[in-house]
Amino acid sequence: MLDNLMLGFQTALTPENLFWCFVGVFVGTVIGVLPGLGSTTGVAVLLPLTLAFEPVTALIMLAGIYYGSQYGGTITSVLISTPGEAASVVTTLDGYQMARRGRAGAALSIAAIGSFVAAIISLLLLILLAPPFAEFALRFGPPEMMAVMVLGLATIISFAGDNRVLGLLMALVGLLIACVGVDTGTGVARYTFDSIYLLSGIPFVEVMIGLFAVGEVLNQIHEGAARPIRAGFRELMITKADIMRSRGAILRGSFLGFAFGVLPGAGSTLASFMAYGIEKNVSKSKDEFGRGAIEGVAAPESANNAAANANFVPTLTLGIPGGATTAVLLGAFLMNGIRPGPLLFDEQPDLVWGLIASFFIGNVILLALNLPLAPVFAQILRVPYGYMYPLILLTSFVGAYSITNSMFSVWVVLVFGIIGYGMKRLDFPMAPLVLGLVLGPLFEKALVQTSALGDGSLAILLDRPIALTVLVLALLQVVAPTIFSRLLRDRRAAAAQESDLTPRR
Amino acid sequence: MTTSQRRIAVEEAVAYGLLAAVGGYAFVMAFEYDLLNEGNRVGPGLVPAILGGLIALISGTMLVLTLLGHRARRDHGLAEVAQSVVGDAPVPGGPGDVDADDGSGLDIFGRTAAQRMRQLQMVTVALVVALLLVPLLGLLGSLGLFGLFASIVVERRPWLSSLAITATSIAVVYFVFAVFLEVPLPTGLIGIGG
Amino acid sequence: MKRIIRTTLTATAAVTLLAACGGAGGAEEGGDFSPRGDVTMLVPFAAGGGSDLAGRATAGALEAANGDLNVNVENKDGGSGAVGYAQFLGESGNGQYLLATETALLALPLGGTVDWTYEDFTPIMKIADDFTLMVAPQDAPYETCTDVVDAAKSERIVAGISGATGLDNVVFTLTEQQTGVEFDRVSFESGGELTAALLGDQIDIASLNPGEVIGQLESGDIKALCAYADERYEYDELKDIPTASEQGIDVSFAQFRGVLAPGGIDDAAKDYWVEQMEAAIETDEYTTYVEDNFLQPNTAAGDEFAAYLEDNNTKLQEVLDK
Repeated sequence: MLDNLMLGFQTALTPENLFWCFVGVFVGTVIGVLPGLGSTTGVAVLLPLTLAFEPVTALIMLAGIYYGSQYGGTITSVLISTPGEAASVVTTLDGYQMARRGRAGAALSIAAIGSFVAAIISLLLLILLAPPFAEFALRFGPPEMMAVMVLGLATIISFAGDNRVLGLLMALVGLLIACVGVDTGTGVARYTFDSIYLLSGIPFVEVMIGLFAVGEVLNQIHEGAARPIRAGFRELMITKADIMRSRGAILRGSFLGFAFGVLPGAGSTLASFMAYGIEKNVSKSKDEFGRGAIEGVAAPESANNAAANANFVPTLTLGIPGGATTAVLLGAFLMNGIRPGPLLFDEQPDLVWGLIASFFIGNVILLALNLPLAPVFAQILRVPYGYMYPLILLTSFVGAYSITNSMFSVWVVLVFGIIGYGMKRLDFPMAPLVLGLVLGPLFEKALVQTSALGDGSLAILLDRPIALTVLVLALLQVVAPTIFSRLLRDRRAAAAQESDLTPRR
Repeated sequence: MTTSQRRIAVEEAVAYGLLAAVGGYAFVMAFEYDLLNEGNRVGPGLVPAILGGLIALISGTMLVLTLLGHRARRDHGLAEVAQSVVGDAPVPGGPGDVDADDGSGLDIFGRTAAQRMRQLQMVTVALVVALLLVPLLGLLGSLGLFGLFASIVVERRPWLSSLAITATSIAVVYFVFAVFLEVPLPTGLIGIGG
Repeated sequence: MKRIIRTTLTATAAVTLLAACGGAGGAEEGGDFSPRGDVTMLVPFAAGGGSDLAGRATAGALEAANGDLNVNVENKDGGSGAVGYAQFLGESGNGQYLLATETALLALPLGGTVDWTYEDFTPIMKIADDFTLMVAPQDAPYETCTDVVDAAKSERIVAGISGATGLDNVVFTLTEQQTGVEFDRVSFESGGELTAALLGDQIDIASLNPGEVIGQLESGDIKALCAYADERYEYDELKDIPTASEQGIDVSFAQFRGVLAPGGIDDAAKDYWVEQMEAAIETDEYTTYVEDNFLQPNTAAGDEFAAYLEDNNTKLQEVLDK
């Protein structure tokens, strides 16, 4: 195993490869920074660039682009509240609030550190445990996936805060929006109003750009131009206390992310949402969540990155892409002569281990590049918003256009921008809507398949131990916070009584 | 209740009304697709029907509650959002001093809430117009015009610097998207930004 | 109201595009045709998929065969290909555009979701056939397709398919019509998902392209029961798989891959592209593509391709409209 990894590093660690990896990270970051362009689009648009190289060089550059564009999306999530992909929606919740308080540098740094730690942990897990994990993931058939989706939807409870009804309502709206388009199981076109553009559904990346980027711009115009954030350079730096505080969140996020990322489907998004929910529940300072808690950035970013790496478990060992980006990468692998599958590790050891080594190198370069740059990026907030928003709108619309090369995307962005403004104005939560939109198709697919497998009955769920366990977990997630807080209140009340009884000195 | 609070309540009622209508429409339409396929299997209409029904039910209830004046959400309204955005260090003259409820607060450029509302409307309408002009002016052409409009007319900045900033951003975006990423941006009749 | 605006917009956009492109290159008055500047190869599916691979390989082969050509691949995905084809429809008469086509060209109109047919485009060349294999998990109690059919007479056999208009559904339906048995269907979204479902014993059988399962076939996790092809494969990895007709099930149906030009281009442009493609399929790039993906290099140029489409369409119609 170690020999193999050494072999990989030997193949990957040439000055030429390092240079191209650096270029990949840099270009990827730039692409990721453009509103709405996350890692999926980033890799897809930059893929042709790598076709000119030797396989190993092409792969290492792709790894750079992949990690770079992911981090680029984080930068915009924090600075202008515009996530590049569904998985970084959660980062906007606390990251943007941190930026508004002059702590953008710290938010970006903890995201880089968290992602790095998560990447290293998840890559080690990938090397050591890929085959058993892949085996385990296969046992997640439609009924199990349906249970996982229910668990994911249950996390909405953690996001809705004080107003669960509103959170639930928004999640339902997201799920309903996801119903638009051709139903994959039956081929029936639903709510498409005879428009060919709606056949493939309402694209969630465009919805996200609209809700977050454009909605926020309109909201800022209405709220009035805030004074530019003038934090000193020192305040932008991350402190030791920040890191200590985020330690647990990063570790929990990493393992959680890996576990979810192994499952094909919405692994990364689910992982980041759940990681945030868990931190919010275990944190001592719950009230800070949603107002700029650094754990609220560290946990989802770590989970997201760990899940992204875990996505490679089914991709490499089974040849089955674990997510949208890995699907694009799978195509890239094929173009470079790598045929992922059960025999990959035996047949093409130099390429696979070179690839895994390049994942490590990509992450190191990413950290080396972005940690010093984080405070510099944060300087952009010094620009008054009134000067920035035309530029944000310009890049949002052009970025949206470039996703599908069609004006339809641009109109979707505008419509959801206006909706997003309305939601902000009325304080309707957006995260549940996005989660519903992302999980909707997966949930429905799993439901339809489960019903078909069970020949019209969902009782099949009860025969499957894994599905049943996950469903119980989901139930606990809904019920537990209430019970816990009640228990806590009781204990506190008891403690208060006790302290009353103890004689004061 | 202040005027602004009442306005929010009205807007909420409108939002719930819209959602209830959308949910109801989705519910009714869902019956056009089969709820169940042969053998009692989940069909294409079942999920939309349940979702639409639930949305209509919840928003309907909320609508009624809002109209009846149950102000369940008032403790967590716009004022709190503004407050949490500004944080615990209010800047003098910044939106920290803006009382979102009386609607007369000035921002750092000394604009009133009413002026800002007008700005918002102008920007929104300008965006729609800009997108409608894309077939004529191309994507970059019309978004460039929008940028100029936003800086000169809405934000009232000097026209020379506005022109320079807009031209630079368009050039950068053109280079990144059209040249580097080879995105075939729509050029319009005049052929700007191909 | 919004809908009306959008439709008008799209129409305006299409007219504009037509005007702009018609002037720039495209149809010339008779005589010779040669493209001016870059040519676009439209891929109606996302980057990294099977169609994308085909589009890029074709573009590469075209460029390799003729150094003057520069073919840019443009992905326009959505609606199982419907969005890409719709844009291509708007390029009518433009000789600067090509499209990497496959079975969606026939399946989409038959599915009733679009209002064009394959006849609205100009067929240039069919570049390959991709047959499917009936596969089952290694520990399944059947060795041949006949075993499966026999088992289906007395028990429930769950077949995974990728959508109602997918090729796999077509071959299963043909098998059912031939043998009078019935398979239970569960829909999945891609070959990858089907493979995972097979490996996890969620379904009993699936019908997949060799390129999609070659890894699992070689590792022995999945076994091939029969090939829905006219003849056995010549590839070493696949030559031992009997055809369905050898086992008494007379079903063969291939997914085709090819190149289309927009409708309404003049004969000179059509002849030019047929000629270019005939040179392209002689290149090493083409051979590598075909071999890497375990395709059959069954080509058909121009009118032959058109005849093939017509025949294939009739067959598909019988299956899907039953």
